[in-house]
Amino acid sequence: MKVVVWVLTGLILLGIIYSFSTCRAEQSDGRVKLTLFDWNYPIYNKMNRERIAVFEAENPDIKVRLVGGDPDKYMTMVSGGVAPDVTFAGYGSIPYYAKRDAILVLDKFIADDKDISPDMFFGCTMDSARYRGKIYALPDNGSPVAIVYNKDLFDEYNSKHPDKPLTYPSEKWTWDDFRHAAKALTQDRDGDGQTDVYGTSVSFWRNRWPIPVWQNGGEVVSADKKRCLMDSPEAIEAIRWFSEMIWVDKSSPTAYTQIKGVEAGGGIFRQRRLAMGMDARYGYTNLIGKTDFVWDIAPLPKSPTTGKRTSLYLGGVWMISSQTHYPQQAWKLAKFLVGDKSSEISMQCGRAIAANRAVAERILRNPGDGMPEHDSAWIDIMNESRPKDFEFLEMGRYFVRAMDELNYISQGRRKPEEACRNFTRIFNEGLKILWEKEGGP
Amino acid sequence: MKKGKTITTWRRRAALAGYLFILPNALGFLIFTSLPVLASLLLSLCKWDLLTPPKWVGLENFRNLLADVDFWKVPWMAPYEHGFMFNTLVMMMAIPVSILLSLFLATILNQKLRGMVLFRTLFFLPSITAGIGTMLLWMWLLHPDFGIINAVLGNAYEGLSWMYDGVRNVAYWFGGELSAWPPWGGPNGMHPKWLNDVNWAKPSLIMMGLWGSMGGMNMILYLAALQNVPPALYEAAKIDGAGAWQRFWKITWPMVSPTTFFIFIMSIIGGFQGGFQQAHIMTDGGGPAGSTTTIGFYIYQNAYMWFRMGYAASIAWLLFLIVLVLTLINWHASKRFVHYG
Amino acid sequence: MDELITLSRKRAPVRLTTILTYVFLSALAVTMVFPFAWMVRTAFIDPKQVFTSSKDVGGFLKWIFPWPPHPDNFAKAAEAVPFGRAYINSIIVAGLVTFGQVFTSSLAAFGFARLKFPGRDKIFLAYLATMMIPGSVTMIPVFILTSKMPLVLDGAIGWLIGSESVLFSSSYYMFRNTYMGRLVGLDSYFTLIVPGMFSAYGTFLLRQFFMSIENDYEEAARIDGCGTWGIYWRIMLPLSRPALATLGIFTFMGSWRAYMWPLIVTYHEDIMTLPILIRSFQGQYNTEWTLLMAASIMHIIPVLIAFIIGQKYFIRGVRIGGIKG
Repeated sequence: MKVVVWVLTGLILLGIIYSFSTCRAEQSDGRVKLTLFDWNYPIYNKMNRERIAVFEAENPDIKVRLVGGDPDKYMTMVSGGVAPDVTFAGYGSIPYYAKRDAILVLDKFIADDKDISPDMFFGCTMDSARYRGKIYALPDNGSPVAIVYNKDLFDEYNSKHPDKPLTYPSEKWTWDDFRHAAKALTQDRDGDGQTDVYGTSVSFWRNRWPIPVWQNGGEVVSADKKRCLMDSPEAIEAIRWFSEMIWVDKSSPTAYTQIKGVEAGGGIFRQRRLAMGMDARYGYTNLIGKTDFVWDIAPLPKSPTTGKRTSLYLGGVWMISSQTHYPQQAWKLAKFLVGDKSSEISMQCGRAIAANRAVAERILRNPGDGMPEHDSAWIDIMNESRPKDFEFLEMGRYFVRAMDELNYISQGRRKPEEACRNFTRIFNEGLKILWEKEGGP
Repeated sequence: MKKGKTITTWRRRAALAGYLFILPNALGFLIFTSLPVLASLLLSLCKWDLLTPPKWVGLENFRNLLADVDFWKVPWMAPYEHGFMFNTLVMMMAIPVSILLSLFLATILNQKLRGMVLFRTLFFLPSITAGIGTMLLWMWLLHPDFGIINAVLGNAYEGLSWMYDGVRNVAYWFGGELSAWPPWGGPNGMHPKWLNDVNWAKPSLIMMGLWGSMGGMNMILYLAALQNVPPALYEAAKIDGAGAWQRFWKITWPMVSPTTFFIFIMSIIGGFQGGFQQAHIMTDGGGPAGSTTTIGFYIYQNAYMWFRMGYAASIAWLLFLIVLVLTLINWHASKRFVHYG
Repeated sequence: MDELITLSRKRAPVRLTTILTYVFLSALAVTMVFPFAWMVRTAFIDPKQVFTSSKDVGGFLKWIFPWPPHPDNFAKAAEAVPFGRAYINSIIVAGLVTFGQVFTSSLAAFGFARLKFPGRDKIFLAYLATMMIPGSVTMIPVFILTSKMPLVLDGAIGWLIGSESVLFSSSYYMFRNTYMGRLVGLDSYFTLIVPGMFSAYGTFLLRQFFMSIENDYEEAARIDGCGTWGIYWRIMLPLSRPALATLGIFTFMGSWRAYMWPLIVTYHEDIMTLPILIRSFQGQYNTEWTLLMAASIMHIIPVLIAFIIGQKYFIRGVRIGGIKG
């Protein structure tokens, strides 16, 4: 016992001495101190540290402190009255903060500042930063969804079937072509009755499903956000495409074999067991330098009925807290973060596409080593995309339950029609409460 | 008269000593636990979105909670409808099993045999490694396609398929059809979908919990308690001709009852709040159709994901009432079943 | 006494039940060790091999033991995050929390178990009751409380010195922020440590142990002229060493892997504890499995060592001595 106590005491003393010796010297040197909040992932930390170094060199009168954490840490900080000045967040949380005046409206800043104008960003990114007509944030980066395909599997198929070869996915494809190719590429190599290579992987929990709905002329919610429109024939037909790839063509795994963290990490794609995945550009981190086959990207196919093409943009924005003591300096920082230098750093560290159009186009047009051949296709995809307009966090359990209904399709427990009807019913219940109690989404 | 006065003084002094002894802990406790708990009681009567000041709504949160279908529903109302209370209670059914297993292991490891120290350490390993790493690991082990558990089950299935075929044949002779035999996998082999299946998700988590807790803290507590049992009692019982089973029930069980009481109460308190990390990390926020969302996770969701702190606090206080009643029942029952020194 | 020891040391004849016991324990041990072994395996493989099944590499054994091993995962993990500093922070925090909790809990437990005072059981039940409120709803109140602590501290110092003016002098803030670190409030050791030092769990655990200690010892000590403190310090603490060691190791483990509270109150990397850094390997879109497992192994090794050292104490018997005379 004595030994333990002594060892413990020694260690603690050592630690205390150490902690004093490297104590943070927070001198009052007259610099304005800003706090920057971002998610706590090594890749973001590295990226932000580089950005901050550049910013502090440019603005010697401002000191930036980087704080990393989960959204719940952010919530606690805000409600504790120590909100970070500038915060990174998924655009989905803008309405919640904007409605409660927790973040600053940026229209005036933008109007007064000649360095920033809304058209220097991709349209979908700017749309994602708006709420009820006002701009509440500056878009940082993000990505829409595209087809990521394994070229080797296509070549292998074509060498086996020279009579009716498959073309690589291209912008000319419709969902019918996609389904045809996916079905052809699905194979059971060892004949044990279990599929070894899937043509594609569709699931309802990863936000791919609204894309065909939009392309088909449908909408998830009406423009005034009062009604859910998922029971329209266009929406049901689009959902049926997805469902049939799982249950009729059997070219996609069911929900049962898709697990968060394994599938999302490019799992079966990296194993050469998936011919065409649907992924965002930040999914590249799992692929570049980690595969031993050739892969490329292509835009998602268009709807065979309307011929329309679109994709879904997911991304992050910078918001300025209304608790900040230095709105001008915070604006300077936010402006810098979406500026050219910072966007370049972000595109080199992460793989998401910068919202800053000029920088993104330059980098995408000159794909570096290990990048897919058609990396520049992202430019068109970005221009065609739109942000999610139906994820209302305050709907809470209703939203989760509505999503569950779609998930039931890939579990084989609902037919598309039934799922869409239930989705609409539950979503409308949630919307009704949202309008009555919270004044709308 | 004089004697009476001495006793009063002595009592007063003893009481003072008692208060002084609990003071350091109670003071810290008051500041860092009791105050926040009271604050949460006030919050449960308010509507608070964390950003604007709380609004007093009286008992509305509790009325909403009592009418919350997602919270109360049970599968026998409609298949696959797993309410959060139901989920929590199902997960808690593992508590008595876990306690008995721990006691069982502790009695074995308490024997004076060689190598017991090594076994104790090995059995405690899951508790040491517990945390996010282990959960991710289990997600992986349980992965339907490339998880090792299904790989082993599949191999075992191939090895034992003659047996399953045999059962199927026997059923066929008697005119039955067993297409879904064995129940944990179709004719292609054993491939339960574990965490992705509404019905397998909870058993998966329970299995993981039992595995982790069997040789964990509870076993260590029992080991420490077993050290307190005087060997002379066993010797005496042996001389009286009591068998191993009788010795266990007549000596071990009563002697470790204070520990059992402690473990039981703590397990109930922990069980009602548990399942948070599993739901958050292992099943992507609540599992298929919410089948692994426990009350603890629902509270978190409401508080930090959907910004309903008041509602979250009201769930917490409902939970409090339930656990308090259970604990009071335990407390009074303990006077009959728990034997101190 | 000596007889007893020689009796137990005498080699027992090997019986069938003994063999069966060993077989059972070994089988169980394999399943218990397996996930840990898998963790070690993953920490040593090439990141490319993470998403493979036995079919892909051709052979079960080849899949389980990929060769050659990649020890550089550890170096990479240590490079990606400031590990050394976090180690020291974790040791300081877990060590002090453990010490504080065992001490205050044993005091309170002694009060609840061995002393009589009005309202004893009611206070104790109130203790238990506070454990029944989940942490998610009390977290924000505690956060607000601790983040306001610097104001309280400044007020207290001003009151002690007897003048408020010192508080407004910049040299005071220089001193407080530069030389003392931050004493209280967010980003301080105080906030990481002190709220964890008072626990109902520890009090309850030790109370149960104190209650099962026989009265004879206490009476004998009283006759010898021991006061209440003497009974606590000289009788109860030595007698309940297994319980103290048990609580100690539990507290240490709990504090060593605490995630939520440290995450919320630390902002500067200098003061972050290990679990926060380890969690960051689990990314939003991609998880660095090999690095995560390597980091997790580095994380749990101190606990493993602490357990191996500690178990000697909580397994050792307490009643061998008994009362003499």
